[in-house]
Amino acid sequence: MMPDDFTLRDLPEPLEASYEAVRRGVLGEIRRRKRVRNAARMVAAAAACVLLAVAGLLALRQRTPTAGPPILARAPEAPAFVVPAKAVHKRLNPKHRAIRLLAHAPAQPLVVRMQTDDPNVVILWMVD
Amino acid sequence: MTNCPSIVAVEGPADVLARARRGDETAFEELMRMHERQVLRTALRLVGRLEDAQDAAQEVFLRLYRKLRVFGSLSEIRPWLYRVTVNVCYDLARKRGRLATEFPAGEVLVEGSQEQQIRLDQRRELLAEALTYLPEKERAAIVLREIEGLDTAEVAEILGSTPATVRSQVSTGRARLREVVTRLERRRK
Repeated sequence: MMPDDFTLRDLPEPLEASYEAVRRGVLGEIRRRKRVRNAARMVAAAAACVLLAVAGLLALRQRTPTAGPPILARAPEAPAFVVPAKAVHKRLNPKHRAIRLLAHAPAQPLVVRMQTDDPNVVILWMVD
Repeated sequence: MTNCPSIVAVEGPADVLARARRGDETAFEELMRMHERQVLRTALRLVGRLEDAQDAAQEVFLRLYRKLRVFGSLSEIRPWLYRVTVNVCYDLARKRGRLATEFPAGEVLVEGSQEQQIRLDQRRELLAEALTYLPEKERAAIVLREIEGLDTAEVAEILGSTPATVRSQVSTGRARLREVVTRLERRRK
């Protein structure tokens, strides 16, 4: 017997039911994988939501100030430290000093204080 | 009330591929119908058992489903399917050890006497069994070149070899097939 081309090509075809079984199997597997993938996506999404919620809560907790222990006494405030201004000593011409003093003399009433023998009695004389 | 003529969209094969790519199961089923004979028949010639061939065909189509985005047109699918079918069958054969042989229930009916029919069936059965005794490369070359009717260059591309190698494999395979058939025939007598 010689296996010629005709005989080789004439080998029987699988039955129609065999093709149908393959199709059914493939589509079933595709649907199963889709279901698994969708379920995995749902789980991943839920996990992501939980993680986000936890992260949000942690962030909120860090922002709100925490109540400290009750205040029993207040520490006194530190005194204000004032740096005195540096005095400017301007040397004046001695000739002009008296004039300057007079010119800048404040307009105050002249008070004459007179003491008596009694230390408890003092006479003040104000001159305008 | 006026009667509007219903508009039926004529769908080309390219639409089927595009719809299948978008995840349309009906379109993918249509794609399977277009290629199932090629895949299951090749797998059956390569693995020898219908059950194994169905498993292989199923795996091939699942791979096709995953790779749908790769194909630009339908013409790219056919050679790819041959290549993947051959590879899946090689893997299956390695996994299951020696190939089992089973003569599948055929649909081919030849007119003639019952005796002639029986003789023809026996010849086919012997050939189908003999095919499974060939080394896998030779078997693939014979199946694609002699049974599927692909040209040598196509077979070479599918098997990842050269046309010269394919010609040599087909020639050696045919000689070996003849030898195996004779031996099997003698054993049956």
